[in-house]
Amino acid sequence: MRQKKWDSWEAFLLNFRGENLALRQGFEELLVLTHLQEYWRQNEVVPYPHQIETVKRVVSQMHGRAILADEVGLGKTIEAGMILKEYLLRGLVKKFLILTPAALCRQWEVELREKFEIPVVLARNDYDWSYDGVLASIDTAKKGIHRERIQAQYYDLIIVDEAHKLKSSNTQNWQFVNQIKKKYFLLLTATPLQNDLKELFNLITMLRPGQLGNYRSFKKKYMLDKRTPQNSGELKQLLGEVIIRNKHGANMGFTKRHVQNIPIVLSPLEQQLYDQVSSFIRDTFFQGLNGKGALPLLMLQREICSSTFAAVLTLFRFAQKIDEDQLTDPERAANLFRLAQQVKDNSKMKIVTELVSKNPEKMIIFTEFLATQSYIRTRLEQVGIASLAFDGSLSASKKEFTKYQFKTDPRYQVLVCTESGGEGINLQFCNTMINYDLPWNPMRLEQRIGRIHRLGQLRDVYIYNLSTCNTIEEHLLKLLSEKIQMFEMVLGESERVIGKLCSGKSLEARILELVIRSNSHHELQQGFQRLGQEIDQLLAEDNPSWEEIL
Amino acid sequence: MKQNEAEIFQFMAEALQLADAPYNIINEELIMAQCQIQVARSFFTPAHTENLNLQLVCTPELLKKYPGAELVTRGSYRLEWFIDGIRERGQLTRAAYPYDLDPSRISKEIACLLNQPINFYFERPSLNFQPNLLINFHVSFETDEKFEEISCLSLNLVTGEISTNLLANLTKKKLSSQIPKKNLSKKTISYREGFEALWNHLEWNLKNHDDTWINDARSHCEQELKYLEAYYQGNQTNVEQNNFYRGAAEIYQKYQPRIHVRITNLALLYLPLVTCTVEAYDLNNALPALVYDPVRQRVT
Repeated sequence: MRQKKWDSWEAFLLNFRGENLALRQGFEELLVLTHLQEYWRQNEVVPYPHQIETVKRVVSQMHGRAILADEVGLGKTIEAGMILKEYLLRGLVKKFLILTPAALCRQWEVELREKFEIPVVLARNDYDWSYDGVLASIDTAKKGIHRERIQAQYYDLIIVDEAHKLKSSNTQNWQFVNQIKKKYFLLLTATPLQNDLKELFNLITMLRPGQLGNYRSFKKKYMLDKRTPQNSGELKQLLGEVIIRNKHGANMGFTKRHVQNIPIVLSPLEQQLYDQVSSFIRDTFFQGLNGKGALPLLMLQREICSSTFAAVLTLFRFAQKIDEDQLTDPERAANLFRLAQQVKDNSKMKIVTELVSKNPEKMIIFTEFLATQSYIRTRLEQVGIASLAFDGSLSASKKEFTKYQFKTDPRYQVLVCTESGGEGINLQFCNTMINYDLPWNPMRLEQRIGRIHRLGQLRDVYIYNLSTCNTIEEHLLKLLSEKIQMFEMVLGESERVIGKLCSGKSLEARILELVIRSNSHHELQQGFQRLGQEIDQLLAEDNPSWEEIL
Repeated sequence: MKQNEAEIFQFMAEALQLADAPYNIINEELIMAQCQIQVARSFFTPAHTENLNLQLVCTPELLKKYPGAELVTRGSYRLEWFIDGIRERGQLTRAAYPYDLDPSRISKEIACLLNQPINFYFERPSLNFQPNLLINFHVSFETDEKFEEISCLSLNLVTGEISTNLLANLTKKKLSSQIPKKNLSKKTISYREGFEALWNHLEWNLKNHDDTWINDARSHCEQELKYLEAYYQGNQTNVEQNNFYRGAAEIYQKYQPRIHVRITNLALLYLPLVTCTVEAYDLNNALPALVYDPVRQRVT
C-alpha cells in the first residue's frame, strides 16, 4: 500500500460505478448484440431474428452443445460466430478450436475477424496449437503430432464446420474429434441427415452421448429401416434438444429475385461461326476416339457460347496444332479462326450496353472467360462506362481493394467478374447482375447469384440472363429456369436440388454428351427434354419422412 | 433519457473529466470528446499516441439526430473501452470526510435523529477521525454459465465493526484527499488483520449466498451423467470404459461450481465520530455519552 500512489475519491467511485456497469448477468440479454452493435452498423452486418433466437437457445437452454443445422444460406457461420463471441465476452471461453474443411479456413478467418473482431491463428505448425484461438483444417489437425498436441489440451469451445463429414463413427475424423476434451461444442451442417439414420445417430452421439441411448436401443425404438424413422414425434423431441434447424421461409429476410431471360438472335456471321464450330467439335470428338482430347473441345464449345472472342485463341491453338496429342484438322481450324476474325462485334454486347446505360445502379456482369471479360470492358469503355475487372489472377488484397473501389467510387458502375474471381466475395450493396454467359454447372450459377442475393441484401435482386437463340444456351437456360428452377429459389434451396443432380455423373458432363451426340438442333432439343424428365423424376424421389423429424 | 442511459451518459462524462480529455455536452444528449490513445510499444518506440474523436449518444433514437454518432449502451464496445480505462484509476484511495466541530449544529443533527423528546443538555462534544478499510470485491459465480456481483465490505480499524453499506452512505458525499492532522484515532487492527477479517466475512457471505445456481448445475450434471451411462451401459471393453470416464470428467468439469473473487479497489477512509457527553434536565439520572456518526447518520 505504501508503494502505490493514492488516487482521488472521485476516481475510486467512478471505478466502482464502471465495475457495476460491466457486471455480467444471465443470458436473457445477449452481450454480443450490444457489444458489436456499432461495429455492425458501420460494417452493415445485420443479425437476423432467427440467428439471435438460435444463439439464445444454444447458450441458455442447450448449455453450449448443439448442432446448428440451418438450411444453406441462413447464416450458420454467423450464428456460431455470435455464440463464440458471447462466450468470449462473458469470460466463459478462452481457448477455442475451429475445425473446417481446408477450403473454408480462409473464409472463416475473414468472417471472424471482419464480423466479430475475433482474431484466430490459422494453425499449420506444431507451436500454433498453444494459441488461445485456433482455426485449422480437420485434415491438418488430425495428423500425428498435431493430434497429440490438441488432445493433450482442454478446449472451452470446439466448432466443427461441415460436420456431416463426421457421420461415421468408424472414421478417423469422428474418433479424433470425439477424443478432444471440451466444454462447449458446436457442430455445423446443413445436412445432418443425408442417407442413413445411423449417420444422424453418430453425429448426436459425438455431441451428447446417450441423448438417443445406445445404437441398439435407438435402432429398436426409432428406426423402421435405415432410412425410415418411427416414433417420429418422440424422436423429433429428442433431436430438438440438440439440433436447431432454421428453414427457408417467407420471414427469413430474403428479398425477391426478379429474373429476366433475354433471348438474343445472333448475326448471320456469328450463327455461321457457331454452327461450324459445333460441327467441328462433333467431328473432332469422334475422330479422337474414347473422348481423347475432349477437354479442349468442351472448352471451345463453352467459349463459342460465351463470345467469338473467347473462342479465337482456342481456334488458333487448334490451327497451329500446339498440343501434340490433339487429333484436330488444323486446316479446318484455321478456316474457322479466319471466320472468327471477321466477327467484329458480339450481339450480346448491344443488349448489355443498353441495360447498363438505362440503369444507373451498380451492376455485376459475370462471364466465364477472361477474353470475354476483356472485350466487355473495352466495349463499355468505348461508350463511356467505366468498369472494374475481378478475376482469379487478383491477389486477396487486390480483390479486397477492387471491391472497396467498386462499392465506394461512383465512377465505376460495372464490375466485370469471372467465376474464379467472384468466389466467396459478398457484394450485397449491389442488386443487379447480368449473366453474359451461363455456366454449365448449376452450382457455379448458384454461386454467382449468391454474391448479391444473400441475407443482408436489403433490396430486390435483378438478374438478367442473356441467351443466344439456336445455341446450347437456349436449351440450357430453359433447363435451369424451368426444371431446376434455379432462378426461382432462394439461395440454399437449390443446393439440395443440385446435390441430387450431381450425385452421379455431373450435369456438365451430361450436357457435353448431349452436344456431341446430337447431329441437329432438333436432336439437341430432344436430348435436353430427356434430361429435364430425368430431373423431374429425381426430385420426386425426395424422402418426405425426414422432414418429419428435422 | 431512461435511467440506465442517463447513468451511462453521466459515467462517460465523468470519466472524460477525470482523464482531462476535452469534451462538450450538447443538449444533454450528445458528448463530443477528443481522447488520446496509445498505440502499443511493440509497434512504435516510443509509444505513439493518436487522437480519437468521439461523438457519443446513449439513446438509439438520437442516432438519426446526430449522424455519425456512436451509440453507447450497457455491454457496448465503447462502454467497455471507458470501463477498461477507468480500471487503471481509483484502485487505491485515501480520503477523509471533512467535518468540523460545531456544537450547535451537532446538537441539532443529533436531535433530528433521536425519535424521542430530548430531556438532557448537550455538553461539549469531542471529535475524532477513525480509519476504515473499504474493499470492493468482484465475485463471479461460474458453472457452465456465469453471473457476477460486487460485494462492498468495510471495517473500522479501531472498533473492528464490519459493515456492508458504508459505500452506499458515502457515494453522495464529498470526501477530501486531505487527511486531518488532529484528532486521528490510532488503529488497533493492522491492515493485514483487517483484510483477513473482511475476507472471512466475504467467505461467510458466500457460504450463505442463494445456492440456486449450484442446484441447477448439479441437476444438469446429473442428467448428463444419466445419458452417458445409458450410452455406455453394457460396454465392458477398456476403450469404452476409458471413454466413459473421459466423458464423465468433462461433464464434472463443465458443471463444477466455481467462485472467483478479485479485488477491484480499496480505500482507506478517515471518518468522523463525535462523542457528546450529556447531562439530564433533572440532574438525578446519569446519562451515558452519545456517539454520533455523521456519515451513517446514526446515534448510539
